[in-house]
Amino acid sequence: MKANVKKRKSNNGVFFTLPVIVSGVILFLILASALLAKVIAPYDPEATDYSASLTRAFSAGHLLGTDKIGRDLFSRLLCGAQTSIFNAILIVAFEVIVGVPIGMVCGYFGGRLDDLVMRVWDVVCAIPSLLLAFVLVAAFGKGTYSGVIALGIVYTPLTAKLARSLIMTEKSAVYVEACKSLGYSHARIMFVHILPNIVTTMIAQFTLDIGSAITAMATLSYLGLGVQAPKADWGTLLKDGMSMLYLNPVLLIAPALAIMITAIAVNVFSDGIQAYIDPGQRKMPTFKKYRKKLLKSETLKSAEGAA
Amino acid sequence: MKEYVKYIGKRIIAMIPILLIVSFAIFFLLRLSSTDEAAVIIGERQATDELKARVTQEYGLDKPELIRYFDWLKGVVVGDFGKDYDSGQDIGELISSRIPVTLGLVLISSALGLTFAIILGVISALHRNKPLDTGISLVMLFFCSVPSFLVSVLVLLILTKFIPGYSFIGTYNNFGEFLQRISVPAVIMALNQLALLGRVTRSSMVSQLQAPYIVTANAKGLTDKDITYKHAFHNAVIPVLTVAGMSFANAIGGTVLIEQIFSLPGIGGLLVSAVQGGNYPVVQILVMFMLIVYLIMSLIVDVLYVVVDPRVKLQ
Repeated sequence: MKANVKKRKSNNGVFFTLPVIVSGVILFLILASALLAKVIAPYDPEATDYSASLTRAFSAGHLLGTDKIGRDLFSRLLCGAQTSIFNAILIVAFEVIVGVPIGMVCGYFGGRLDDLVMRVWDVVCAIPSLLLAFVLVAAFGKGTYSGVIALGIVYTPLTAKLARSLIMTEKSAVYVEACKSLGYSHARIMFVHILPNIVTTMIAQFTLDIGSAITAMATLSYLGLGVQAPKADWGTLLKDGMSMLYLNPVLLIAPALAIMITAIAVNVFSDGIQAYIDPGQRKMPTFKKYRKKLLKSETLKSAEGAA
Repeated sequence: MKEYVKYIGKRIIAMIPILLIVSFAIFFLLRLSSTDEAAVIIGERQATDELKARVTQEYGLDKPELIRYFDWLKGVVVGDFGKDYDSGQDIGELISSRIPVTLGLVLISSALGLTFAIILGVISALHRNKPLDTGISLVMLFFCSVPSFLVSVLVLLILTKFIPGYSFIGTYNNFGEFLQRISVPAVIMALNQLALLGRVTRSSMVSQLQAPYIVTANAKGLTDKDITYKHAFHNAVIPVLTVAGMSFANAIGGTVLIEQIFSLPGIGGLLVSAVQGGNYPVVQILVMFMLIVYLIMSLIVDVLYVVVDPRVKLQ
């Protein structure tokens, strides 16, 4: 009988479908190279070498060539990955730390507080997100951290709305009632009991947000409002590459491809998570496998019965 | 027709409080920063105390913030948008020549994107799980995940490499040249919207085609054409319009970038340099202008709801 119980577990469907595996591997490689950037990078990303300026790609010593003042593009791309991904994680962390509690408190208590916060959110959402980010950067002054905070603020209302709608469906569940009758505090019910139940749905959204945060931060840096020279992220690399459009297009193509591949991989990966969480979309074992399993358990049962 | 006019008038009146709140918020948000506005106005000139005092006097920088806000608001209402901190030029003059490019980009790309998204989405849904559908869906997934500024960087690269005569720098003199300048960026922006809206159209059309009322329609012997366009389509297009409102917002933000990349003389470049330089009057006016464009576009979307779906009533 024990073996039977174990088997039922695998009926949950498959998380590791082909797109998820491919995008997961790509993301893992990007993350690993970003983490180990300082180790892998053959040169110091900020070291200039005027004798080797504008080296072509795939030449000896410089895998992707060098820029106008002889900085190695491959090293800069790796360290840029580190900055870009780190900033994106900061943005998502901001929206999680600020947005989720606000949304949960609003959804859990409802009433006037909820009305007020939602009115404010509606006004914030009436402004196109990139415009809002511009205004916030103008207010905080340009720079990496004001860019991160500005984008964090832009994403926060959406996260809060998600958390709010999730907690509103969850709060009428029986286990919440049980917790209440046990006399648990509201904070404990919200964060110890309800949060684990809604976190899976939110994770799919957060992976998606990391992808869009990477491109949004690159956008700000591209416009000269985010990461400032000599520090590099993928956006500033793009901006530098733009001015070298005719002389060495690799300077433009490499960061563009880096952002593109990351964005697509994140999207596909997040689609995979979403498909796994949503039972309607989940990839189930084929009928053939089901029948095999069914037959096996039937024979097992009959064998047991015979014994 | 009369009720449309009444509805639109009502909606325009309802915009006023939103604009007031947002303008108030933006004004004070910008004043929160530590930027010294007098220094921005003086710019490269030598900052003597005398000059500083004169500038402060001229621009009314020493007045309380609240009074400055109402002065600014009064000016905007009568059409005096204030002076650019950089050049001392009147902002109304500064932006009026740049508006056609931005508006053209946003409107052309949104119209193109929405139209082709619906056409391709419906085609894709009708050929579900066939090679045509897979092809369209893959292309859409690509343009959906890749931000349009990257696409335009790559397109620019290809254009400058392979079309020797293609020049993306310079201004336009007549309408023909204007269209020529903005056609490529407008198509790129449209592609991004097309991908997002097309995916929504496809999934919504697929779910409508599986609904029980389609079976009934089939059983009654309606033609395929009637079923698709009269029944399924009308229901399927509603969620598309909802998302279209959001994607217009993206387009308005996106035009800033696209103008930068294709060095178009629109208001995007102005906005970016104003944000960088702490040129607050320009930031305020441009953000309010873009917000008005966005609100009008979402009003158009709301009117379209009624045109498409007879069950929705104007209120």
